[in-house]
Amino acid sequence: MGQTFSFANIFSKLWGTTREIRILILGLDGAGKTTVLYRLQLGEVVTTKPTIGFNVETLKYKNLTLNIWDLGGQTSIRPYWRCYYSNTAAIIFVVDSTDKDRIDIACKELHTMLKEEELQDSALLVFANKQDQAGAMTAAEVSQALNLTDLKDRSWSIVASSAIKGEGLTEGLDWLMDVIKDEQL
Amino acid sequence: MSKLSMSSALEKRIRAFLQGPRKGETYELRSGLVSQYKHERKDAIQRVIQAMTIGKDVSSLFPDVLKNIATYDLEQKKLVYLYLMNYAKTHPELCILAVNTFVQDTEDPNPLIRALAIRTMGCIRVARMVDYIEIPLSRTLKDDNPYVRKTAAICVAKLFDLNPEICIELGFLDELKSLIKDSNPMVVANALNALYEIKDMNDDNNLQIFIINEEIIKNLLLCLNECTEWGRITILTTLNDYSTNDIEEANHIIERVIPQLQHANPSVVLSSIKVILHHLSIIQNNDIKQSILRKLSAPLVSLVSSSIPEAQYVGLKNIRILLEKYPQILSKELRVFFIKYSDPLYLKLEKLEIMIRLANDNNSALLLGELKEYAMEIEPVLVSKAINCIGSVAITLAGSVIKSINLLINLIDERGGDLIINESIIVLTNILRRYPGKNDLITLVIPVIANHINELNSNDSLSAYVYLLGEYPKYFSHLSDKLKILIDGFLEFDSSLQLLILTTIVKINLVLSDSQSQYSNYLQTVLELATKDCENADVRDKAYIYWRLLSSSSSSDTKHQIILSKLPPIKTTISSFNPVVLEALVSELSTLSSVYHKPSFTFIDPHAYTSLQSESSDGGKKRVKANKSNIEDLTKLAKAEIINNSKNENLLDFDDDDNGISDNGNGTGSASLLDELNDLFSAPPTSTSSIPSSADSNTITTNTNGGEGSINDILNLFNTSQPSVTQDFNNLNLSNSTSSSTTKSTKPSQDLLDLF
Repeated sequence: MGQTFSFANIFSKLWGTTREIRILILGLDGAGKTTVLYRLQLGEVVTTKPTIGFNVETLKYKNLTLNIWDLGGQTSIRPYWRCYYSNTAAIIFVVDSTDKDRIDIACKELHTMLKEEELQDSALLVFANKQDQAGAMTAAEVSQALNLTDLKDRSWSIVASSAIKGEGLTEGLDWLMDVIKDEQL
Repeated sequence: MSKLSMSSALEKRIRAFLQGPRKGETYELRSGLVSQYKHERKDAIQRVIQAMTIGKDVSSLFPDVLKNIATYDLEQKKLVYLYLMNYAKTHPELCILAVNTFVQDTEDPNPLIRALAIRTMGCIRVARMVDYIEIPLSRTLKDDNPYVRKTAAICVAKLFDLNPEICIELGFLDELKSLIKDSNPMVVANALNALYEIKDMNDDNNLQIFIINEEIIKNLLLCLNECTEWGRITILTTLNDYSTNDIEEANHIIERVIPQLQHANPSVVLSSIKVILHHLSIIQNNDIKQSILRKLSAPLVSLVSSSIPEAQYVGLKNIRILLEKYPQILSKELRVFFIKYSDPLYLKLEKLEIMIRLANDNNSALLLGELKEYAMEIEPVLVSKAINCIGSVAITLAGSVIKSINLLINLIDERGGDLIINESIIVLTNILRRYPGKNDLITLVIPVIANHINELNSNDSLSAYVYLLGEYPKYFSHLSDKLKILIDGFLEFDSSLQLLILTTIVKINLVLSDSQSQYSNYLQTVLELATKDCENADVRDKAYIYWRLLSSSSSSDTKHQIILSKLPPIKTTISSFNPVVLEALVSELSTLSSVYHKPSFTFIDPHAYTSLQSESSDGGKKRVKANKSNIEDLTKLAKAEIINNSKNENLLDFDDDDNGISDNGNGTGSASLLDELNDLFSAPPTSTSSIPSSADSNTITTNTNGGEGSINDILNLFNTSQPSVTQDFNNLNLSNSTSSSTTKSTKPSQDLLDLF
């Protein structure tokens, strides 16, 4: 991370205020971003409505304070994602594994986003979500559809998950924490 | 992989180092807003709000501030909401990013947050917000907490302003109406207020906003005592709008409202008085009427005892209206209106107005004594007003004439001074006009005036003196000398005085012609002066008429009849309202009209709301664009743009140089620009007045508004003659309805051209 070394940082470490690590959850509408967020934060499934705008929650995980932003995925809101890019440590990209029709759109959105300069240093975690449903693509299939192997100069990983059942989320987050800790040091 | 990112992090650090620190307050604030530390973010928000309140434009930080909206910190939430309300219009498309938080906040366990969210959401005047407001608004309208409900009620009015169709379609208007029957008085009052706002905004004549019926009135009366002062005023306004034929009900309303007269807030008191008077009209029994009227005097007195002079002034203005309708209402309360030395001048003058209206035979001695004190004050305006008031007392009360005259004579003798002498002589003349031909008064007044002729220097006092000279020539000694002075100075006098001198000399000639012929010389001189050397046409014409009449063969009786006809005696010098105006003012008591003493329709444009709306759509250019801008909108936009530009140019020039010539050129430039524009949009300045009102009235209204602004700015450059033109313009605004607004739009540019 390009965190500059400043007095403010030293003091806040002395006073014990914790630095928050910004993580964005992005993806097409209906991929399950809000469900992932609240599954991580509350550990339960909440009923969600399409997010017009964003949700943000703070989460303590393995001694780190995570500031997780869940941005609305509707076509009309996607252009505003860029407002949130600065100072982002990691991106969680959620894909609806059952939505084969729109996987191309997801791929396009992902790669456009990753071209942004502000995100050059952010790690990428992809959740191949909705594995609980029949006909879901596997993580490998999703990875291929998203051309993840094309990504250079970036720490990335893909994890099969089911936000409803709570499967795969912690694994994914654990990997992310390791990467972030590495970069912070 | 981690090694790779390590190196890239290093690379970025180097890049950042090479670029050097980016500077500027905005940059600092922005990095604070997206900081990784909570306290830094909050601190940055506070600084942003600080900058906003002192008028710095921090709208560029909109997306970054918006990110901080979702927080559990109430303080921070309030600050972000405040920012959002202020700058929503600058980034209308970004506002929807806040929707999710608003919706969530309206479900918050804390009622304060629920209310805050719906209030802020309503305050965001962005069309796209309307799409998302349905769920939170209907939820908060049914909230358990009255504070949330009343906030939501007001939000309905805001929604109506933004989009009336949707507001009605989604049933919010009906829900609002049902809130009038709410169990909580605060909700009732606010719902009522919202309905009033909607009623004012509504331009659809078929839409019935709300009907006040007996049942609602009953509920309102129950709420009245539990409300805040604002709520009470709203309820009282409703009660005033309601008319009943049922004496029982009217009695009940009055009974319920009377306790409100004790309220500390003057507006509540005045509104209560208004309601009581409104419902008093159907009560037939005179005794009951009188006893209720008697109850009004104490609260009226309480208005004047307020410690704030401005509030007292408003109270006095209202009392003046009431006094005209019910002269007896305060007859025993004269002392309350005595002037205090610490009162500001406007208050003193207004108090005097009330005092002379309260004058009666019982209190005249007290009043005159008091007025004499005021006449010895230092402020010239107060002194002359006090002297006038003494005259008013003498004119209204026949019993106090001698006393008043003596008082004035005393003032002249003891105090003296130009101001007192001039004013007193005008007043004394007025008194004689009220009681013409009374020998005792004349012998009292004339010698005093005769003694001070040399000190008369105002046109009015000289006129008064000359009038008396013509009316009662026999009472003046050395009449011939006095006339000679007037004739010698004839050509230097004001034309109104010349007219009077002419009449006076003609009159004297008729009255005294038998005894002394020397006056005919004066007559000859004055007629010649007036016809040959005088420039004023009126004076010349009058002289010719007299001359013709005097030299005609008609009998001297006819001449006497024409020239010496007596003026009708004046009845009063106290101004009063026209009865229609008075009725309007009584029904608009405790509003701005009662301070202006003008009915509201004379200064409130009935289309004010509609023009506001078109202006706002003008401001949000992006919205116009989104609305598939048609030609009309573009025209409007272009006009506003050009007018704004010319305005800016002028302002800049004003700063740079005071050179009259360059300003002049500039001013004509923008005026011709306006003209050109009008040409462009098929409204040539010369023929606009004849253009029918079928032209799109919206376009014209906005155009006028913009035009007015820029005209005023241009006029500001020329300190001269600004008031007259602006006044012209204001008058136009007052008297013209939209149908004639076409004339308005070109009027300023023409006026301007006239100026140059």
